[in-house]
Amino acid sequence: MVCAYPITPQTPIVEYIAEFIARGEMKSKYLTIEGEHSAMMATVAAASTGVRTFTATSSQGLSYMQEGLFYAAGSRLPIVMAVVNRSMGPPWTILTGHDDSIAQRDTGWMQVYCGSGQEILDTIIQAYRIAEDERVLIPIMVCFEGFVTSHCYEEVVIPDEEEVEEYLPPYRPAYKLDVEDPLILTTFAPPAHWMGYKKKHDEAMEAAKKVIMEAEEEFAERFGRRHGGLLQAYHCEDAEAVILTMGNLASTTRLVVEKLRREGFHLGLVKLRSFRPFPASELRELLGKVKAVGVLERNYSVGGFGGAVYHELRSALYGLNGPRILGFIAGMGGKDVTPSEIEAVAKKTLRAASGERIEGEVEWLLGGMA
Amino acid sequence: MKMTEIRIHCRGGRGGVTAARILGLAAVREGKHALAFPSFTVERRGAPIMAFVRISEEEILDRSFIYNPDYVLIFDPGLLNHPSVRVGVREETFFLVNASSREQAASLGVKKLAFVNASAIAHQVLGVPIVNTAMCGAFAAASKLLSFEALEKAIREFLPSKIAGKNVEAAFRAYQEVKFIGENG
Repeated sequence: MVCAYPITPQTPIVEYIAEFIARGEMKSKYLTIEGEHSAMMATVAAASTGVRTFTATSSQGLSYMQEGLFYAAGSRLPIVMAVVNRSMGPPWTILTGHDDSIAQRDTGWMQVYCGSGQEILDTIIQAYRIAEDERVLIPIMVCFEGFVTSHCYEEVVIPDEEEVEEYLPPYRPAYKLDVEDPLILTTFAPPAHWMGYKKKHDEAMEAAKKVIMEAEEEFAERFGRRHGGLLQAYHCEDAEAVILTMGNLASTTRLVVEKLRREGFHLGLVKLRSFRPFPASELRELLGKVKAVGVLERNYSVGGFGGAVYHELRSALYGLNGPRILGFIAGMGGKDVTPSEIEAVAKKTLRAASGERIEGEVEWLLGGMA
Repeated sequence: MKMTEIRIHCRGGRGGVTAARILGLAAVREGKHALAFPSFTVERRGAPIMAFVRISEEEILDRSFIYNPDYVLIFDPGLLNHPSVRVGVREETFFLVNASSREQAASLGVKKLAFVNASAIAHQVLGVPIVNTAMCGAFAAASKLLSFEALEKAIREFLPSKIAGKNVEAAFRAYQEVKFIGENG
């Protein structure tokens, strides 16, 4: 069942899926509805009856469905939702920023960030495998930038339908609402039990890390493409400084890393894909011995002291006597992030790695015309 | 091969974004890699918009906007004096403009320049002021980056079949009628 309410820049997803279903190319019910809150609640209801579901939204639409996000996660329903990232207004914008989905960090959903058409398609397929796994049973947001990624036309290999069905067999839910075999979902939990449910949810999130890597491995084996699962590391083995980023910025950053590598700099890149679950132990392993990390991200926690990824990475690496961590706030409200800006980010992180004193931990990239 | 970067300047609703996608698809059909994406600022009809195309023999990693274009395509003569069309251009940047006359095109005052009366072609062939396929045809001829066959294939793949034929015709007319000015001519 697909139920979604159109909002820029998610709209083409809704239009195409409605067309696929209308033409009979996609076997699904399509439910038109009056807003995002209802879209999420109808998706929760459908998923409760044991069917596979999909929805998509952006920005204010995502925040409008927030109550439902908790319902979906607390009910442990394996809903897959595309979040086409758009910054939260005001000031009004229709353009990208990860601040919309980052603001939903604590709803209990998994979040994966993608940066190309191929990665989005492959991740959506994997997302059902991961969410529906009985060790997990958690809804998942597949997030990617509005316009620059969502409206980017590029080559995408469409996998064979039969092969996808072998990778992702029909959904057989362990629990569902069924009049023949009644059960109750989302009921009241007394104080003695409520926190226990949250603990189990968190344990499933931890278990999801393994499931994400398994889904990645089997996908790579079957389809010959790899996106990294929890994260993708480039040139980190001997890196003194590493740039860590999410989504399509990782692609442009890779270009910069390759260039600076050729110039002799010991620079690496981590493309963080899974923000929830946050791969804390994997990052400790990968970055514990690096001298400096520059976190480049499309969100900021106003009143905090950096972006969400910066905060989380500092927490994850706390107590290790690990790298100096610098924050770079970029690419919100549709702001472009250029290779030369990323090169400046890399050079500053390299300076920090060489022990140079750097004033201020967090920098906003506000220059340029676009 | 070096990466080719194309920047399209158009007005909202006049097909600039579709042109970027058609050019990208034509390049892919010739076995190259391509990215085509829009730069929306304010989403309204008639507002100046930009669309970007990158074409390369190798995987394209740069996903930022295009600041130093190899080609600038101006779809609307009213944008000839818009400051955005000159941002980041170099002496060797090639301009292809939709203009009603050589004089109008030459007013741009750049070294490498070609023009085509895409508005007239669109009006005559399509009956609507959508110049995108004509501009794609002119681009294929002026740049020699794409064969007309690949472009035709892309137009037929991309546009609904009932309008594809006329659009191929518009593209072909522009392919034949594009004229170089100055250094190239």
